[in-house]
Amino acid sequence: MKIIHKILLLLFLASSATFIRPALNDTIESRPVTGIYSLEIGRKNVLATYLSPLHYTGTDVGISGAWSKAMPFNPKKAVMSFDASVNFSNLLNPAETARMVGLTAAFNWGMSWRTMLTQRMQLTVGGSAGIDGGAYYLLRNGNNPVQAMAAVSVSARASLSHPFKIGKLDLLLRDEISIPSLSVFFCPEYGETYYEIYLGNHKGLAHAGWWGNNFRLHNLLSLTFDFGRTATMIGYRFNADTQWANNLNTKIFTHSFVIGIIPGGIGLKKRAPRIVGEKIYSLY
Amino acid sequence: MWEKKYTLFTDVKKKLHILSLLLAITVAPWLTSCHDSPDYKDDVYGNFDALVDIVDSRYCFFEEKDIDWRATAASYRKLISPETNFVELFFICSALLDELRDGHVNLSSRFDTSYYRAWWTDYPQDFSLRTLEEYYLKFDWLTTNGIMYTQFENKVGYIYYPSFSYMIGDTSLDYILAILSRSRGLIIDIRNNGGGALTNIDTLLGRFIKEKITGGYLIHKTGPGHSDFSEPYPMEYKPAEEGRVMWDGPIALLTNRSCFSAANDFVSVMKNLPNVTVIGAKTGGGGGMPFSSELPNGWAIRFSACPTLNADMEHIENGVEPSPGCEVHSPDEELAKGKDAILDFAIEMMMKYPAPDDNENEEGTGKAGL
Repeated sequence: MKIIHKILLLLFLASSATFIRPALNDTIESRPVTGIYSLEIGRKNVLATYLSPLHYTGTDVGISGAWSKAMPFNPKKAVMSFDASVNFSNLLNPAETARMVGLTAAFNWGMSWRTMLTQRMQLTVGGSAGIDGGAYYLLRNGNNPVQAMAAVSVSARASLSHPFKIGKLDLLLRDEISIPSLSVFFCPEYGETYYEIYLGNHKGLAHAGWWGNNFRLHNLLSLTFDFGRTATMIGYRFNADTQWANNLNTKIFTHSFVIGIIPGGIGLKKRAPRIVGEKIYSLY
Repeated sequence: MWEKKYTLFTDVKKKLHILSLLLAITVAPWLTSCHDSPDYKDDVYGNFDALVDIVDSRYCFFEEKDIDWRATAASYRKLISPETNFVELFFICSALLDELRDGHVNLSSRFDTSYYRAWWTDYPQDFSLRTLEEYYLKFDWLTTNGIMYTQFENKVGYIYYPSFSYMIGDTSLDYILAILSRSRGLIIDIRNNGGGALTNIDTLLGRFIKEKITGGYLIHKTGPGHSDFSEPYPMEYKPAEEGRVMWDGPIALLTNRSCFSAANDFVSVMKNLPNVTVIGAKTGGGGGMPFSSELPNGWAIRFSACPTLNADMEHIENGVEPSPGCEVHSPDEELAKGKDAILDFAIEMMMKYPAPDDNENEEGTGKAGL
């Protein structure tokens, strides 16, 4: 029993260490997780020449979450983040005679380093690794009904943030850009049916991607209102996802309005430490 | 001094960060504009040109049919003028597509779907469903999953499968083969079967083979050139899972010109089996799996895109011949009088085999078993 108690105690201490760690100078470091939960609605334009030579346009809706936290080994500089999103789109061809529906999801884990460019302007630069995928289904097509999307990628990412005040209200203007730079992505061959893939012919489906054949850019310009206990974010997201493989062209552009909520705020409105000597490493 | 230099260095570094960020944003639109697709106007010329380009880059039988597509399209383009309306354009495009001589090619608008019919209208039908139902099945048969079946009085098992669009369930197939198990032979009639799902071939064929076979090959286009094709990929068929009812007796497979697409593929694969005899007329072809695309005005276009080859790596787009000495036709006048020469030929052939009940000590040649 004693051994079990010791193990439990060790586990508890280990898990606590990730949140509050006593520093050498007798201060206590607190690194709260900043979580942004967003709803997105916007316009999507899809060209997928495996399915059709025409651009499909329509509505895109999505939910996303982004969680960030200062890292224990260098809480002033290093920030870890995890993003996840799911999007659904409902699109029509220009003549409105055919419908395409899309369902995509993405997960990214990243690490960034932050530095103050000016007294208030913060720059973060880093990278992330992610997986994303989904499908665009053209309902009236026969043997080529789906453009399946799947990619594993390594991205470069950066952000610029500038806090300011209007009266007593704390605001943060932020632009975050992520550019998947190296990837492995899926693309069927030019005239290959999914039936042939189902039979087992997997030749030529996986491609090494870089900016030349798999250029992608995800940008979020946001304005966050920090009320202390909570914060609200509004923003504009622009995503460009393109791929060129097997003589097939895929271009997906999304412009979305984003509204999000951040329980606990983002740390602009400084609150009194809960413990004497507590040092809070918030994201801003 | 070094501190000043370091500050200068960090300032430059900061500026480089911002610069690279700005560069990424500036370069992005340029990069995303690479590999542009042609933009067609939504007028009579734009739609015609889009159709020509789609077919030119994606259709798979130009070389087999010796078609100079660009020249043919140019001659039809002369029929268009700025005054041509979309209904007229549809019929010009339909006539152009008929030059492909392909039953898998359709142009679909809100008012019509074009269809090349000559692949079967120019040939005898060799089949009458009414004759079959009245004179051979005597209006008394069993039906499941769209399949009609019975055992004739002379102990010949008979299955009529009108369309590969009817999905065949394994359990239903167990019942059919079990009920017909004490037959001297099995006739599988697929006349007028215009195709459907290829997966039904796997289900059916799995009951007639004891080991894995390569029934044919698939190839697909790898680019827009008329000769851009992949290496043939084998289509392998496996026996049905253990415990299913199998058939290893003689099989007569009845065909006519209206056997098309998946039915054509089925005949091509079945013909390789040693216990199968194909009886009737040459099939209608359709040996290319169709793809879909569309024109700027929203019309849908369907065309053959992935050729299917037989086990000898030959195209089957122009149909599959009956087994040697088994080309038989059922003239309309005979069918009207209740005689189906193709079915009679098959029954006569099956009568050469003993029925299981002829001698209880001998197993019949047409046997099904678990």
